[in-house]
Amino acid sequence: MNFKKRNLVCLIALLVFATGVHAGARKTVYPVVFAHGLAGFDNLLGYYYFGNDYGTFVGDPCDELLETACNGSIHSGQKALAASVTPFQSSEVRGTQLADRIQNYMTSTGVTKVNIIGHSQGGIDARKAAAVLRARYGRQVVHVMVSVSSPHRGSPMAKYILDLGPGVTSVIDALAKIFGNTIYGSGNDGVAAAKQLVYNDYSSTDGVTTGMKAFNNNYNVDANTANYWGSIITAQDSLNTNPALFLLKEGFYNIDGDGYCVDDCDNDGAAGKGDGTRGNGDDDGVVGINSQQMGNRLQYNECALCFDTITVNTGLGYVGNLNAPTSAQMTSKSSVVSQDHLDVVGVPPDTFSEEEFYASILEFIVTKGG
Amino acid sequence: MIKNKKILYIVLISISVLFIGILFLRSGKDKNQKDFESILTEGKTFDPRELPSLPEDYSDHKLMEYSVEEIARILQEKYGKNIDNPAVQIAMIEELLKDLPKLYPNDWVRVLNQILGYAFPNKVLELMRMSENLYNYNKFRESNMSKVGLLSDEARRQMIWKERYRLFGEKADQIWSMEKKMTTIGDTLKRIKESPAGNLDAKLSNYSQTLKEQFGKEYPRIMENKREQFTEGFMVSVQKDLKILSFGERKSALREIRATMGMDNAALGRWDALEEEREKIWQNQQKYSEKRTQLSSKKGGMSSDDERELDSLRKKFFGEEAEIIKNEEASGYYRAQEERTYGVN
Repeated sequence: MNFKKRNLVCLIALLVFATGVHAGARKTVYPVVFAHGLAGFDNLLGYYYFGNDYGTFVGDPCDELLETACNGSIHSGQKALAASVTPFQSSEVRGTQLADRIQNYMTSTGVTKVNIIGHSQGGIDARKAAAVLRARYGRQVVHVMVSVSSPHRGSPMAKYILDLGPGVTSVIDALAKIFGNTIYGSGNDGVAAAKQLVYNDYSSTDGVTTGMKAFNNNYNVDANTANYWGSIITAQDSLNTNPALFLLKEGFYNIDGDGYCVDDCDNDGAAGKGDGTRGNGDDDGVVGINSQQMGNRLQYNECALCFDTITVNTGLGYVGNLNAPTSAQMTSKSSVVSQDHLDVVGVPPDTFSEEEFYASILEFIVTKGG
Repeated sequence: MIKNKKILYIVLISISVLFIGILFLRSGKDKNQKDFESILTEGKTFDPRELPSLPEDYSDHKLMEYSVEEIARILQEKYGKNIDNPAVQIAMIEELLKDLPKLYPNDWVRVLNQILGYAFPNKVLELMRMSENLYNYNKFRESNMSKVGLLSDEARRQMIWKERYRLFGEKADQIWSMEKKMTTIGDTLKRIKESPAGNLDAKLSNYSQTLKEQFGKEYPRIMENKREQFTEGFMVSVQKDLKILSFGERKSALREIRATMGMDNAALGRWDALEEEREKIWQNQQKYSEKRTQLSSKKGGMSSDDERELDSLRKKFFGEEAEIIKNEEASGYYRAQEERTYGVN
């Protein structure tokens, strides 16, 4: 085994330091709130959300050299909150709950602002929470807002499940198969959760207006509610997706999520349309590429011989109006992280280091003053 | 006859080959499992060797930036003192497995063996067995993911722990010690929640004692990071107790809970103010809800004047949050209809 890469590595390390990037993540100025997606915080298919199989949360810092249940890639003084909201509900409900949890945390600790990292629906809840907190405090409370794999413009999977497409016998059963049995707990409403994640109002006869389009109009990207907005996009070819994504795995349904049009022109449940080819890495098993960009598109630079980093993909521009992205922002596969929807929060099988991924986001937040 | 016999032999041999082939394939072992098996069967040990000096700034770099010998030296430094602890062994193996399979996709098991052999020559076989068990455990979790996700909490625990004990024996208790602690705390909260209302002080004392027992000397640091979650967990579990109290009694009880959970006077002062504010908001929600029900139940539905009246009421009662509450109602969510969780919202 030849390990003579050392000189090259030293050179890389020198370059890294020369550009001001630190090894491991620095401590963020404001605590980081982790907002989970569908399913409960401590039970996503029997796994810990944003964690590993030993009960370790990615926001738990190590403060001793030999401590084992912690993330060694983040600063030993890092402050983080693993916020927990109702596992299956609309984002109107969950967003208000998230705002309450953040307000509680701020009251207990005395901090004046927070950053939020939201996965999947957690990224949508976070937008509402930021607006609620803005209203309650009369000022901006969220500094950096980062969404990961969030269906900001809807998910065809949600509509497919609501429509009871082939392979789906009931909405609840399908959501349970994908996300686990917490849906059966009290306070959950799987149908409301699914309706939330469809772009248009799902039903014109139910007397209420649901869906991402209306939600985006109410809680859009807004400098008043958060100082910095960015998103990480995930997509993977069908062969590597998680076995829990059964609709895809069993060949029932595969999202075609990399075509452009205004609104949901093909009525599949998400804004944009397909390009005619499914399974070409245009979705992460739950959300298409064309639904995920919010604010800046962030690029995750995974590095085997150095610490991972996040940079901004400046070429694609900023999505300031979630209901009106450009064609490139909806279709480009640039800076897409090749992981499925569940890989990035600790559900195997994957070769993905959640600890380093979230550490790199924390370091990025520091660079944005958060 | 001879020709028929020849055909018969060929058929029999082909069937045998096919049978052996199927048996071979059915063993289902992947290359990594076979590599582990081969290394452990061979039982090769390593002679102690002189390793290079410890790199000065190694904690600022990834392990894989260094040579095998340097990695081994760093592992000695980081994990050597507690290498007999199975949780430490797992943490070390996991650190190596973050990058080894990516860097050496076809040969990572052998590279792992080499690094462990250089670092801990007397324990290399034990560590490789631990690595093999961890690999097999992860394979088990992957292949049973959907099944496990649909089980009840109790059934899931039973299934997972059975496999953990099968692979790791009693060491499993140490490896998943944090999970066991959190489970114990969760079970305590569940018992408190299911117990009859009353004896709030005793419940708080029981919970606080459980936390201290579970975390021992780590208690202050754990509370520093998780005080909010542990406090809210208790609040949710004692709703029956909090609901039967008057506002004044409840405010005092909430303060006592938070003080016991380690919040300082400044935090308690902030909470007092927030509790007052929230009480007022809930009262306003009730008033608003009554008026809204009255207007919306009018024959023919609400007129535009009624809508304007509601807008004005929302503004009066909820200030800057009025517009958000209007959005919520349009989506079918009414805050006043929710059950209040005292101490949480």
